[in-house]
Amino acid sequence: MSIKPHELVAAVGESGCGKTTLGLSIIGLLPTPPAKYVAGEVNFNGKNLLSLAPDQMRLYRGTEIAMIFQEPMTSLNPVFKIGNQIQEAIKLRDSRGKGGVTSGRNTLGSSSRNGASDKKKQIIDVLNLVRIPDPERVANRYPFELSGGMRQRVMIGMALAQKPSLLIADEPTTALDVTTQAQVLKLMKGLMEEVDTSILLITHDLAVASQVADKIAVMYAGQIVEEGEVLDLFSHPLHPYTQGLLACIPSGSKEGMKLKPIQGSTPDLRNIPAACKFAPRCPYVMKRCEATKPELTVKEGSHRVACYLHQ
Amino acid sequence: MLATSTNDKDTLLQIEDLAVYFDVGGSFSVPLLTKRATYVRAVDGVNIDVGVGETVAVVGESGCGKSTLARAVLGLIESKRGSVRIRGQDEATFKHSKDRFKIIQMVFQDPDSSLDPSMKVKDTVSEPLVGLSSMSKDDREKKAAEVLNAVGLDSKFLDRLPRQLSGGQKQRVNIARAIVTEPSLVILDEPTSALDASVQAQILNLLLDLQSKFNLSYMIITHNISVAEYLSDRTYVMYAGKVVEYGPTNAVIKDPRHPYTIALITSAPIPDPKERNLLKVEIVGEVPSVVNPPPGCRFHPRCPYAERKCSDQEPLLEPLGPDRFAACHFIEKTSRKAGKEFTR
Amino acid sequence: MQYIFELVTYNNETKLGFFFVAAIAIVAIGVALTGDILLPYDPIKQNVGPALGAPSLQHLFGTDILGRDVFSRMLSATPNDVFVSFVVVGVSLLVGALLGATAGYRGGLLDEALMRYTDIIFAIPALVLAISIAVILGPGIVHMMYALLIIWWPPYARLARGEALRVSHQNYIEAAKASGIGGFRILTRHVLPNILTPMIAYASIDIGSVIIIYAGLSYLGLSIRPPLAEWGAMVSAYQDYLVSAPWLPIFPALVIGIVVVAFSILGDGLRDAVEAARVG
Repeated sequence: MSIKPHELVAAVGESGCGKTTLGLSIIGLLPTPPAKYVAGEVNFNGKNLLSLAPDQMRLYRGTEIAMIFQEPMTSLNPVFKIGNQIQEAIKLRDSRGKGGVTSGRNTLGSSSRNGASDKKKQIIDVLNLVRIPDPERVANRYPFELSGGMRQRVMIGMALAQKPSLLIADEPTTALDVTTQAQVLKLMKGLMEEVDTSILLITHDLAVASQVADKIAVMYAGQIVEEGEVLDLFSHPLHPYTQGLLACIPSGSKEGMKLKPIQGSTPDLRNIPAACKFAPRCPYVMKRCEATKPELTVKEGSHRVACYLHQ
Repeated sequence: MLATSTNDKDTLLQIEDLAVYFDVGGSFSVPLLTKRATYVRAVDGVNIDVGVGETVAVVGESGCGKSTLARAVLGLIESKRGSVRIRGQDEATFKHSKDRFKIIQMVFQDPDSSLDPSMKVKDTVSEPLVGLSSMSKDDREKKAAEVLNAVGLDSKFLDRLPRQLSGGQKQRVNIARAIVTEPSLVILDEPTSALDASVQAQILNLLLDLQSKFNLSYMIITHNISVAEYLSDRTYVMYAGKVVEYGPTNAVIKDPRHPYTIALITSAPIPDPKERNLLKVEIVGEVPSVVNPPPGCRFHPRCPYAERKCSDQEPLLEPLGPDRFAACHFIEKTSRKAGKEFTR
Repeated sequence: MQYIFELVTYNNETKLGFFFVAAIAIVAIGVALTGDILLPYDPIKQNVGPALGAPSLQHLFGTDILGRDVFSRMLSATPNDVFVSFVVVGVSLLVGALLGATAGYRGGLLDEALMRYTDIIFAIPALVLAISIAVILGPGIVHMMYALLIIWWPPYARLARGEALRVSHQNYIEAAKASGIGGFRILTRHVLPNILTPMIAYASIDIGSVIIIYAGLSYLGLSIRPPLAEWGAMVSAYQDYLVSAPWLPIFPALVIGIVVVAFSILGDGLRDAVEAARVG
């Protein structure tokens, strides 16, 4: 898969499809052992991140590549005020700025002076970036005093304060209310230009992905089974799994179209057959599908699919 | 109080002016010194009707009081005021809360914490029969097996433990337990929120099948607009402990009138990249505290149409059409005549 | 049954722990049932070997000043310590679980009363209390057990209460109420089974603690009367021979240590199993 500058790519799939593992691999937070990289590369600006030593990879983390997670309740340290935590992020960024890997980009609010008021301003800048009202008061609060939506905004602020080239967001709004989710997604999408960043959005919600993504990669049992521009994918879903997912989303009333769930269940990843992993559940399965695994190949333009129906 | 369009004979459940307050008193001194109430007004005067065989959705976000409402209707928590009438009978006439449980049951949120990890499936499913019927052990087991079949689980699941089940299977067990005593009304608290998309679809279809097979009425508590739209006939929208709008599901969702409902519906992601309503959402702020709610209309601090009157006087539910109500002083501002652009 | 099997084989620590504990239990039961018949020598008979004889093939742990076989004495004392520790921990577990679970589930006055009572017990140094009670009652194993029981159950009650609080907020408890199940049955059928595993983990480490305390109190002369053997009493009786016949105090102390460690290892392993179950 590839992500272009200023692109919002959504990795969509159900639980166990590997999307979180993918995100953690890019930012190098996957513990190895028990994980082992068996093949492939993660090329970031020309460098293969998988080949880097841990302390080299650390230079990228939080500076060039940032990540936010699902649970805003547990992502912030409960015993430190918001302002302190943001300050920690800024301090770290400043200490790496010299001779680090930031490609000479203007980091937000950076300045060579270290006055206390400067520091405070930088913190307020971060809170303003994510449109938190009354930033002085919020900076003085503890995480438990903020709502889930506010906490997630703080996380986004901390992540984006360093103007990373890539922000990985793992189910950032799943734990939030619907209206809060809309606000946060709108904020993230809006900030992409301002902060000059791309976003990899990991989500199980195809509807959410359709609302914000430029490109969608549909994942199943550890593989990308279909990938394409969002309009393409929704108007011409090629892979039977993608079609199945779309047919699952309730829209309209029960008197209209009845939902067609995908029969069967997700495979046990410990016993993977050599063939197409979706074959046991596929309504169009052929002999070929149970023999060998279809590769992800181009169907048209940037629309790729791993299915023998289209090869 | 308010006219209901459903014939009284067909009305299974009538909730009238239901209020549930929680005392969060804390220390002695706070109420004494400040003379302020320290109640969480989780549900503050709600009226809902459910007809026989009907599905009603109660929609809202966290803190709106819908889960508390569900538990009060079921009878698990006490209400401060108001009544819950079942087939015309006041709850006070039920000699024992157990009789109420025979008519109303609930599918609890979160299949993981709704099943006792130390109990086998067959025991979990037959437990309501232990408490609410006088069936013999053999009869109970037979009934449990029957109802498990009805939810799509065959007999090999009888002796399983919850940790041996998938999310969808756990939810099916949950549902089986709720219908084993053949209730008339089943309250579903976020029935699919913890489930994957394809499993959700299976469960939704199962719910529809069970409804027609056993002639059930459903009250669905959810924050998921698409699920509410798919399953329900009528929808109530709750905000900060009150109902702000209600009516036929189609009308409420396709043509929302209350400013909060509009924000809620607009925020619900539609799986269509050509209709990016989500990015057009204009809502600000967060759900208010229900300990000391804002005066007047509870939504006014966040409402784009708010005027002076909204902070002074609380709006009552007024009819917008047949069986269609909303509580807003300036509801005409959201009518199509006023140039409202959003519809779903 | 399957549950027990899973616990035993959970990890290396539980396997090792269970093996040793099983061995100790077998010895204890064997000696208790058969008396002195299976022992190499009569534990109270004097002069079965030379006085202060060093460890040899006939006398694995050597002999003491009166020519008694130390190994036989150790074996005969096994049921003593094992019995006392199992009874103290077992009763504490039972009492603590019942009281704590009820308090945690019901709350209110019972909960307050229990908490304050356990506060009081915790405030007084446990050993001092135990010794005082033992002194008042007089020496003897049973009196010792009473003394220990009084101070031993509060931690279990606290543990049970905390777990019961957690369980009480689970949806399945509400579901049970909505199924018309009464409070007593909810407590016994839903709360107790689900708080048991962490308590068992704690109890298995605790057995070692009882043995140490009991051995200590015996060392102080508060429990058994000679010539009967008891591990702690043996350490006390033989300590003067540390230089002249070191095997005498060392072997009993070593055995106490190994038994305690075996239970600790088992307890560690079980604790990991509990954690895994909670997280997974």
